[in-house]
Amino acid sequence: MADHVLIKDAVITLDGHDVSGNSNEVSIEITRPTDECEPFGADYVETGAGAMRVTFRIRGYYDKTADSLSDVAEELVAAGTEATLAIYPEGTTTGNEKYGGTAGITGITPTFTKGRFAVCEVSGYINSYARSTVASGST
Amino acid sequence: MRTFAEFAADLTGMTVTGIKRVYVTPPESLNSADLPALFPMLPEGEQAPLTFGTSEYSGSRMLELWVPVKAAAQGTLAEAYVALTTLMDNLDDALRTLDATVPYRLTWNVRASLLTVAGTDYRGAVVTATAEED
Repeated sequence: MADHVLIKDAVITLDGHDVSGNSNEVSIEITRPTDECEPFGADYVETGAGAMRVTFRIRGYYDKTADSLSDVAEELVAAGTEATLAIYPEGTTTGNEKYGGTAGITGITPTFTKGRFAVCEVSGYINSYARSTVASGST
Repeated sequence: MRTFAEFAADLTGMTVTGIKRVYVTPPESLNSADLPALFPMLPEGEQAPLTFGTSEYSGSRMLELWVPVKAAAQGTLAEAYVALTTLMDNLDDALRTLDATVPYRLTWNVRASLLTVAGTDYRGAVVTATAEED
């Protein structure tokens, strides 16, 4: 079989709170928007890669209890503060991959549908983004 | 997720107008004085993880309720038709009442059917009720 990664018990911490129990999907988008330059007298536009931009999105379930995904995200938005975001796709075991940085929340979308669990989507940007591995004794 | 036993108890705990006896398990035989009766058959269901870790599960429970009304050999088809359609409306009403109170999405199907209990055929109804959480 191909060496694909089956995700079961990912861990997500936001502002020091483990919000994995409310979540079932997390994504990171890394882009470099196009920069264009039109020098004086030039016949064509020079195009190049701009600065890297990293955004994230966490999908899960709306929960009324403290320290849930929706609760933590709402507190950060209300305060207008950034917080540490850490994503461990395969858990926090030493040697596993870790993605994260300093996150700012720019969107929270709770959705309420008759007869279904309420869901919540949290999105935002990540500054000082880094991809690393979990060191022994440290998450 | 509701357990199988809890879901069966929810359904057999309904008050259905016109039902003379409720059995909480399938009966070995029926007495005509107890008809119309209501009893559960064996349930089925499924579960699947909903979130990272094992904190949340989605799932479903399905259960058939058998509601024999009268022995097929007794009475006319017209009498049975009237009795069955009235009973099916009463089952609908009871299920709507139950749906308003239970902590899951309840859906159901009601159909008239010929039911065989202890070798005797009965005209009656079958309710297929489903509880879902997702």
